[in-house]
Amino acid sequence: MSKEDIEKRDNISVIKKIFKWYYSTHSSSIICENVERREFGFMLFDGNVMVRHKSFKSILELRRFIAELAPKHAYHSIAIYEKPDAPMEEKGWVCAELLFDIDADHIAKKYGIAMRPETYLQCMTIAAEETIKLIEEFLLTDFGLAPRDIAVLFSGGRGFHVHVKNKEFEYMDRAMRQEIVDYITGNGINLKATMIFEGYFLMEGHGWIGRLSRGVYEVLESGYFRSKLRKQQVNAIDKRCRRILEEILTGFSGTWNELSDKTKKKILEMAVELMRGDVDRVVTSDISRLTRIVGTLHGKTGLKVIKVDISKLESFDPTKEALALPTSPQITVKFLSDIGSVSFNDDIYGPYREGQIKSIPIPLAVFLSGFECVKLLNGGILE
Amino acid sequence: MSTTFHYKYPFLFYGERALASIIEEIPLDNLRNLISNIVSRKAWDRVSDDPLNIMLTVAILQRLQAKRLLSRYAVRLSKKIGSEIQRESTETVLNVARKIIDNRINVEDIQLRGVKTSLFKIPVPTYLRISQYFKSIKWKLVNQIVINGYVYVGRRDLIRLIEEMLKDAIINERIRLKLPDHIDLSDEYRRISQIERTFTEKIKMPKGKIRVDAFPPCMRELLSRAREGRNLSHTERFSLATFLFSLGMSIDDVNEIFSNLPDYDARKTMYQLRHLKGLVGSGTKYSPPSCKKLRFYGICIRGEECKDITHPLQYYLRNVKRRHREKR
Ligand code: SF4
Repeated sequence: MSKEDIEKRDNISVIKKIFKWYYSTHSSSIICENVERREFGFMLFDGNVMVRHKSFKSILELRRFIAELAPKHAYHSIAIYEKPDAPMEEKGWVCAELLFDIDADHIAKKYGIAMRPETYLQCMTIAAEETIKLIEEFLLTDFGLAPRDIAVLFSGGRGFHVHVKNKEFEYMDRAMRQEIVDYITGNGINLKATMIFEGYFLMEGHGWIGRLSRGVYEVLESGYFRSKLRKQQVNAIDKRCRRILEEILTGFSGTWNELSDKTKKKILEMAVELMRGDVDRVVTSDISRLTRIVGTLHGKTGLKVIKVDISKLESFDPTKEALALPTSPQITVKFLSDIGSVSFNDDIYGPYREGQIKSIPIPLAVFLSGFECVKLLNGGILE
Repeated sequence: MSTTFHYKYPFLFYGERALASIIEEIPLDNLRNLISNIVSRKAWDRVSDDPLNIMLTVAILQRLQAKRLLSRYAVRLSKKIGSEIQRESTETVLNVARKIIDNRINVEDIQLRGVKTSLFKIPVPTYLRISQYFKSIKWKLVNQIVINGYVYVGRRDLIRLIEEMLKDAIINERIRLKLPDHIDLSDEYRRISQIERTFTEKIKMPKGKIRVDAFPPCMRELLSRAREGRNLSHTERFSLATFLFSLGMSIDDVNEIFSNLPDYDARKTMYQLRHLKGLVGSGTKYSPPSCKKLRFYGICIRGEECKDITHPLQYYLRNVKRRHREKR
């Protein structure tokens, strides 16, 4: 075993102890509707093994099981089954919430920000904005869902899950869900067949008509196209840009139609990129997906999965609101790499140097350990 | 509202009652005659203009559970209705759409290309349930106008959706036309099941070598993934194994293919395969899933030639036959 492996293993056994300690007193915050008809799965600390196809008769039985097992990650199926513990073909799928996964890692990358302990909150804020966009622009406005049909969960890790609990949407099969994600992500959109391509704009328009109109306006106004097109194309636009912008607001732009089809298509593609919702395509179309259980801990952060009020998303701070582990006593850690300042639970910690040994609050230690920045030295406090 | 349309296709508006109320007025002998006529003339091959003939044909095929003839007839009938409704008033179209598809469908004016345009609006889930079977990219939700939970479509598209839904409703007996129970159909049953059997016989698997090059795209993909030793989900294994069994492949041969999978467990796999064949456990023999199911599982990768295929076996047979012909 390499030195790194040993360090990882040591961390794991300490964290497992911490989790067990937490669940022994907090398992009542674990919540799951329709327990008896769902499948459950658990990722164990030991050997990183996944246990699937479990079922439970009641929430109490589930809580007891989790408290006993102290798993690294705990999941339930979004689907409701006739026989949740049977093998996949015989489970008898009844329905499943429509699930969207917003991944902060991926979205922050688009803005050139890498996910690190120092940037965690910033990345999560960007992910929260994307989540709000998904809900307000797509789910509420286009799909006509009501706020009560929608639940947002902080995943405990690096993102949000949006659950749609509306009878008609819950019965959608894979192909229908695929269509829903394609709509949100603008996948398969036939740009040349849209009225925008022919020069008709509708800034206040609904759905993709409005989105493309506003998108084109923004691409042109911001000059965003400059770095993305060939010189000749840029010149062609520059010459007409002001006029097109004015005309777009009136609903029709003849000047826009003077641009070549190729250029128009390129600009529309940029507009799609700008306006689309960024959700994971695979997650939403998977009707037997497992998702995290509310009230359980995320093995890589020590934060817990919680429901977030849509109105509070914007200012949501996971390191504070989803904090689960006790902040005292402290735990001694050794830093495995340099880290800048990290904001955590309303405090600023660091910077730290590689090799430094320090006492820090348990939740922060577990959180940093998920980024593989620290080795936990003092597990004895729990005994 | 056009009365001729109402008169011609009363079951679109009144469902089961439409036939029942006409039958009440016909003497039993006449009705018997009509029925034998329909069967002896194979009325399902061509859709008549006579409303009673249409309804009786549907009723007979449904009662006798002649699935293949019924679905052929349903296709023809819905196409005919589709082309005729084209000429009807908006009100009639709306009425039929509400009865057949969803009673929340409505008409609304919206601004398009600078002009007010009158469009039909359909709830998003309802739209998806039907349109997912259409291949053209134009039907994708992302290429539709979606406002506040509704998809807005033009008259032509709505009629296309009606046709599809109508066909499905007749085949799956959501539109159900009933003959009185006391009418005995055992003679007709004999004749019709004979005709149906010729269909099934045609579908019998050709003996001899399995032609992988004739596989539908979905099965070809699963097979090559299995051969390359990439992982297959439970559902994917189930679909591939039952498909191969239907082609007459032996348990050992299928087992051999699965032996490349990363988590292969000889005992478990053998047991599961025997289970699928109905050799252990409940004794039910599992048959390969239809395209509809495969689509649902996300296994379908609809290829060019999948156009009106409803079952992967059908694809295979058609392909084998075609190649056979080409060879000759
Ligand atoms: S349409 Fe049917 S045969 Fe074709 S890929 Fe899909 S499931 Fe397979």
